[in-house]
Amino acid sequence: MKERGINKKGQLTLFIILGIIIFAGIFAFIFWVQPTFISNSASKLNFDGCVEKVMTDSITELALTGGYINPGFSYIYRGQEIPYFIYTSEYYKPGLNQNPFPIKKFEEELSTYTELGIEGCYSNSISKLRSLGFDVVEGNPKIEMIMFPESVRVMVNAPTTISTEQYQEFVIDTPTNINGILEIVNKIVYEEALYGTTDTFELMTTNRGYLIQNFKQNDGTKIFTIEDKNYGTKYQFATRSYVRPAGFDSDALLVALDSE
Amino acid sequence: MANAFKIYSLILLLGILLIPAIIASDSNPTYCCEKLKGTGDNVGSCISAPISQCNDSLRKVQSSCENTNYCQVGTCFDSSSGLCGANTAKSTCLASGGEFIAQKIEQAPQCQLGCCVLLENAKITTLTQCKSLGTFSGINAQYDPSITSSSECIAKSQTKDMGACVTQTDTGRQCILTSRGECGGSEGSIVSGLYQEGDIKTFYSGYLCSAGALATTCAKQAKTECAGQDDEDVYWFDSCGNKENIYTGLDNSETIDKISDNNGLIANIDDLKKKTSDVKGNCDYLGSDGSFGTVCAQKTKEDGTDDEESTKVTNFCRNTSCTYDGEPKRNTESWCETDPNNKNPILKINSENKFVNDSSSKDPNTSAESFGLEPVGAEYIRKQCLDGEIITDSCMSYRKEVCIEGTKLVSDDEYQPIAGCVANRWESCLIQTNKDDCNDYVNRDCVWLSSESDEIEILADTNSRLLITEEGIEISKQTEKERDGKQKGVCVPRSSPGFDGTSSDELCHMASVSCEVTYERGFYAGAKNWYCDKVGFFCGDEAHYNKDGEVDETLTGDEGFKIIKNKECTEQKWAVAANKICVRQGDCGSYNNIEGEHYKENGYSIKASIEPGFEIVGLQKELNKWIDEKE
Repeated sequence: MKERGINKKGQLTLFIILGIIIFAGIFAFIFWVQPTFISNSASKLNFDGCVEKVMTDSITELALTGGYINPGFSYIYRGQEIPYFIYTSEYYKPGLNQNPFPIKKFEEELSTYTELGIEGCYSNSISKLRSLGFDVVEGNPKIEMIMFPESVRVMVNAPTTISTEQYQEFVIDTPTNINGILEIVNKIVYEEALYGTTDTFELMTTNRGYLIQNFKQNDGTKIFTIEDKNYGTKYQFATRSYVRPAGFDSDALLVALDSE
Repeated sequence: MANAFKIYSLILLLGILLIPAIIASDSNPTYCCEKLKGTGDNVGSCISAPISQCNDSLRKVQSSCENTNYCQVGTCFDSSSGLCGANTAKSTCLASGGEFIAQKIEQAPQCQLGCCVLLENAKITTLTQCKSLGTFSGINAQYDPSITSSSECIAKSQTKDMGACVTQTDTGRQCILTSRGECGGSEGSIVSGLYQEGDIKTFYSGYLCSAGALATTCAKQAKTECAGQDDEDVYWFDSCGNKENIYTGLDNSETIDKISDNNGLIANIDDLKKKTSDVKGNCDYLGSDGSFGTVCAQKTKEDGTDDEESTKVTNFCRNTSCTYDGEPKRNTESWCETDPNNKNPILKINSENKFVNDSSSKDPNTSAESFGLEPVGAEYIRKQCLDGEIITDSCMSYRKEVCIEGTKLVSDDEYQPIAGCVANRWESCLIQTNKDDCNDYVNRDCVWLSSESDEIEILADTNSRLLITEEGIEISKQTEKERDGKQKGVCVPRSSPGFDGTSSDELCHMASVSCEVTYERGFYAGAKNWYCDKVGFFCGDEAHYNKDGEVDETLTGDEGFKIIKNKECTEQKWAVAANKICVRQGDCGSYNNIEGEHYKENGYSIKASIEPGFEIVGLQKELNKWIDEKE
């Protein structure tokens, strides 16, 4: 009986020693070796929601002014500056394209417009983590953006360390149908530049889920609005092409007759 | 006749609409501004404007932009996206990071369109755009430059070799429905109704993932969803989320829609229609065969439920037609409307794109005489029934656009009414001198009023002229017999243009009609005194003229003139006829507005070539009578 008791005590001691060694090993590994867990998930920083909101709000706002932060050369419609994508000041002549690549332009402007907001999301997230007691080393974020057919991808390159975890890049996809809208914009710009007329009814028949309207102004300017019925995003831009005067204009009439 | 004395009287029936014309002045010449003044990158490029609006530091030339190198117009190509911008100035293109092509978009090789197929999706794109889309979506895009029609392109995507791509895993046989190319696995085979063991990844052409023979983890017909082209139809989906065949109908008493299941094989709609005439999931967006249009939608309480139908079926073909003024309207059908007081018939073109109305028509709704009589302020709109709602689109104001109705082919032999706002090309009507040129609908929108109508007959018989010369455009002798003996008539706008108050005088002058009336001195040829008698036409009762046509109040006498030519021009009938021509030129003459108010004396004036002028007694009464007939 005594021998068995000694053996049991010995076994217990051995387990305790082994336990201490293992624990010490893990402790040493974490604090001295500092392992690296690299992730591109922004969820740890509670980052995704903030960026998605910035993107969604920005897309909605920019779309109303044809993708321009500063619409510049525009028509004032219901108090809003609507940029001209096609314009001529003359009668009976085709308008010239002022924005040949609306998709590219939107992407550029969106990138500029959201930069501060996304940086704000990042730094707010860092501050929150610090306030929760995390040891955080933040990076200098560099932001890139790509528009996909059904989403906009934001890539925030910001080497970040939270306690023992390291992050290199955060990738956030925001669902949007702005690309679909911009494809319709391309079609309208093409029609207006070449013919000065677009059949919005036909466009709606072939591009279902969009409300495409054309508000004609007295000076020949047309305000096009394309509204995505699912997302509610509304895009606006103006054109002025092949304008006819009201009634008679001597110079214009000569141009019209010459072109016959 | 030796003593015959002719007096030439110029009579003008003149439309007046208040605001004088704004004449372009050379005191403020326009320049081609490379860019306008302003900040930012969107300031307006290659725009004709006064020099004060041009950007000081950039190029500007007092010329049309067409004549400058920096504003040379061509096509702008973006080599990364493959997109092309039409009608772009060189400087705008380069500033946008594009490649300038000095050709029209239709001719630019980089901008030629073809069919880009990405699995089940297909669209018309440029080659570069197709490659770019393929890269983005991680799919091997296929491009066919020989297909440029959207419908053909879509059809091509649907004929791709689709099938079940099965991957053997520890948790069973996983499956996705995809194309052979995308699957990339080995060719699978079915023997005696069961798959044969093969590679880890195997492609079973023509099979659904839920096919019993494949023994995958996907259970058939788990739910319905909207799918197909534009999510138009109701389809079955398996428990793995793979699309199956179109829904054909499933009662509560059944567990499987057997026709749709098709023994686990992919079937197109036409195949299934051979098995049942009523494919319940086959919605018809445009409507045909008596249907007014349906589209796949999620069932809601408001839509009501079919008690007989399985609860797995959560989608149905929702009606997309509309009712307007008690009339059913098919989905996407469109039609024209105008102001209630505008009795001008809506322009219609037939399936051959020819206008229904012509000068020979006796139908009051389609005859030439029925057109061009829009009241002042009249505009056109068009409406469309779309997905159960009615949408309105206004044509350009001042009748710069008018609405026309036609038809479009929606199925093999079925046409649907459509309406469109089109430019009102009235400008060259007045200078057309024969019926064929006038009715040349390819180039203009005019109608020929022939001498078969009373008003033209009287104008023609009296050699009345439309005579204004404006800026080098000579418009004269429109109805003169000698000019075109066979085709006496006048070419007038099919739809009269409206004025915005800045140019009406000029145009209304164009519509002025003149008539030369010849007077002969009376029987007493040796009489000393000249005067106008009481029934005379251009002289007042008490006015007296000497032989030089000057007023001489001292002159008296009983002898008068006898009108020997064109007495009709001194009568109401002629003036009414001239007014009918006048009102067709725009907001001119004596007519009404959309509120039904008459434009009376201030819509026209009558002048003689010698003072003090004249009036046609009771003319306005006659004009009102004609206007009332039109209302």
